[in-house]
Amino acid sequence: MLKLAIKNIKERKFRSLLASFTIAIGTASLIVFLGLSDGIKQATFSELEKQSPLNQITVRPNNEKASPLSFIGSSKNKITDETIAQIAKIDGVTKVYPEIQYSNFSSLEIELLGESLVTDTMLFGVPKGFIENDLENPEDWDKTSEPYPVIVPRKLLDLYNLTVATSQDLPKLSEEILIGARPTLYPNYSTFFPVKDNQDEKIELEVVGFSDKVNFIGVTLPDNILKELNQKFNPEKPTNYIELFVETKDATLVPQVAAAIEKLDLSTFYLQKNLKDVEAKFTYLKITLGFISFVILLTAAISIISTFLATISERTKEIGLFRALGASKSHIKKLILIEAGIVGIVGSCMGIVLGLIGSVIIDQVGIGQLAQTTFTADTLFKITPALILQTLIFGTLLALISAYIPARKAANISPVKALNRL
Amino acid sequence: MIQLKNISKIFSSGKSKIAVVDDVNLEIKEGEFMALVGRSGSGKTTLLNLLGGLDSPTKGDIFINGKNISHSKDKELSEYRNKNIGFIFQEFHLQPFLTVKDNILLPTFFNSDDKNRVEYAKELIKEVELEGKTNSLVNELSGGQKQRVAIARALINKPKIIIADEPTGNLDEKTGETIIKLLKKLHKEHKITFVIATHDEKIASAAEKIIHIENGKIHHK
Repeated sequence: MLKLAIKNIKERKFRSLLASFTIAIGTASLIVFLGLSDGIKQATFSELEKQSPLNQITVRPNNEKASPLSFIGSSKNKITDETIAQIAKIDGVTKVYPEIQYSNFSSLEIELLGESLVTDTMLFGVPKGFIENDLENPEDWDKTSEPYPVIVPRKLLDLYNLTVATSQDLPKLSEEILIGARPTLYPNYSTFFPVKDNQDEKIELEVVGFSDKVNFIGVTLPDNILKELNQKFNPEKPTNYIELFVETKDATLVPQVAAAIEKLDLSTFYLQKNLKDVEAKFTYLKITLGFISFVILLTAAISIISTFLATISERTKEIGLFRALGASKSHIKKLILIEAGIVGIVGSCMGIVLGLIGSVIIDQVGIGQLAQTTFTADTLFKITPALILQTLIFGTLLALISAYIPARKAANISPVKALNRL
Repeated sequence: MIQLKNISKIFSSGKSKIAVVDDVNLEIKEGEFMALVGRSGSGKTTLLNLLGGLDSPTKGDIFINGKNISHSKDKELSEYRNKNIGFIFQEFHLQPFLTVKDNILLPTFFNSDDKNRVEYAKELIKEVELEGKTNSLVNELSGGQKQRVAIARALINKPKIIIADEPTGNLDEKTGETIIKLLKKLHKEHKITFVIATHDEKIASAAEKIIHIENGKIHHK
C-alpha cells in the first residue's frame, strides 16, 4: 500500500508538492515563532541570572523601598549586625553577604588611551566571598594598602561604550584594557553636587575585575576598606548596610527562606519572584506567536483539504477500480491517509529546514541590533531536537487530520458509479 | 457453485422505479465458461455487478459455494471480491502511472496472503504473452496488450470466478478473437469459472453455456 501511495504522489508531483509547501510554511512558522519566544525567554532569564543567581535572595530594608539610590534615607536603615546574625540562623541559609555603602558622593578620575575621564561615583563594599568568582586573582581583594582593589559593574562598562563613548566620540573600552587600570578616587568630591570644592584627598585604586552582581551605580571595594574610608572621611556618618545577599542551599529553598526573612520586616527580592512576572509575559508572547502559527497552519489545513478533495474527485475512477479489485473502505481510507502522511512528513521536513534557515537569518539580524544595547545574548533562538520532533509530528498529524474528511469521502465512493457501471 | 435466487435490482428515478434485474434465478457450476448475452441496457452489467459483489441486490439472495453474500458488510464483500473474483472490463481500467507488472500486482496490494506474488505475476506475464513488457508503462501498449495485462491482473489472486464485461468491446475483430482464444486457454489451464457478458453472438458461441438477458429477465438457459 505504501508503494502504491508513493506512486500516486509521484504521479501528482506538482499538487503534492504544493500541499507539502503549505505544511512547510506552517511548520517553518512554528519553528521560528516557538524557537524565538523560547530563545528570548532563555536569553532574558540567563541575563537576569547573571545578576542574581537562582539560589540568592537580595534583602533590603522594608521602609526604604529598596532603591539602590536610597542612601539619602540611610538614617532609617534597619539592617543591623543583629539582623544579619538572625538571617544566618534561618534553615537553608548558607551565606549572608552584606553590602555597605560609602556615606557621601565621590569622584573617580581615570587616564585611559591618552584621555583623562572624571565622573561622579557611588562607592560600595562587599566581602570577598560575594565576588571572588568574578576575580581572576581572588587574593587581590585582601589587599589593605593603596592602590585599593576595585571591581566595576559590567553594565556600567556597557553603558559607557553604548552611550557616552558613542555620543562624546570617546574611545570604547574593554575589560582587558581596564583590568589593572589605576583610577584616582576623590572622596566627598562631586562634579555635580555641592559637597566639597577641592580635590585634596586622593586615594589610588586598581581595577581587579568586572561583575554582573555588584551594584551598577558605582564601583565596589572590599567592605573592610570601605568601612575604613567612611570612618576616615565621614566620621560623623555610620557605614550603612544597604542590602544583603543571602545564599540558600539550593534554589528550591529560596521562597521559604525569603518568607522567614520577610517576617523580620525586611523586603526580599529574588529571581524566581521576578521570573513569575517575566514568565507570564513570555507565556503571553508565546501564545500570541503560537496563535499566528495556528492561523498559518489552519490555512495549510484548509489547503490540504481542498487539494485532497480535488485529487479524489479526479481519482474517482481509480478509487472505483481499487474497490472493484478488492480494496475495502478502510483500505481506501488508509491509502489516502498514507499519502497525506507522506505529504505531511515531506512538508514538515521542508518546513523545519526553512525554519532553521529563517532562524539563522533572523538571529543574525537580531543579535546585530542587540549589539547596540546592554542586553547580551549569543542567540535569540532556542531550537531543541524536541521542538523539531514536535513540529515534525504536528505537521504530519495536521496533514493526516486534514485529509481525514477527503479520505472518508474517497472510501464512500461507489465502485459501480465510479466505473460507470450503472 | 454460484446460485442466484429471485434476484432483483431496482433503481428509483423520482417516483418511478425501474427493475434493471428482475427476479433472476440462475446457477453457474464450478469451472463453467458461461456467456451472458444481451443488448445494451438489458441488465447484463448490473447482473455482473451483483455476481461480482460490486453491488447488492434489492431483493433475493446470491450464494457462492453455499455462502449468502447478498447482505455482507463492506469488509467481507471486499475480501470476497479480492480473493474470489477477477474482473476484466471493456475499458481495461489500467493505472497509467504503473508498469505492466505493478498493474498486474494491483489486487495484491489489498491483501497480504501470497508471498510469491511477484514470481506469479511474472508467470502470468508469460502466459498472456507479454514477455519483455514487464517494466513498460501501460500507456506504451496496444489495446490488445492492455487487455492482456487486465486479464493477468484478474488472475493474480487465483480467483474462483472471472467476470469479463464486454472484454473485446474496445478491440478490433482480430484482436478480439485472439483475446477470446486466450480466455478459453486460461479457462482450460486454470479451471476457473468464466462469466462473459457480451452483445456479440459470435463471441458468445465460444462459451459452453449461453444465457440471454432482456429487460432484466433471463429468457433462455
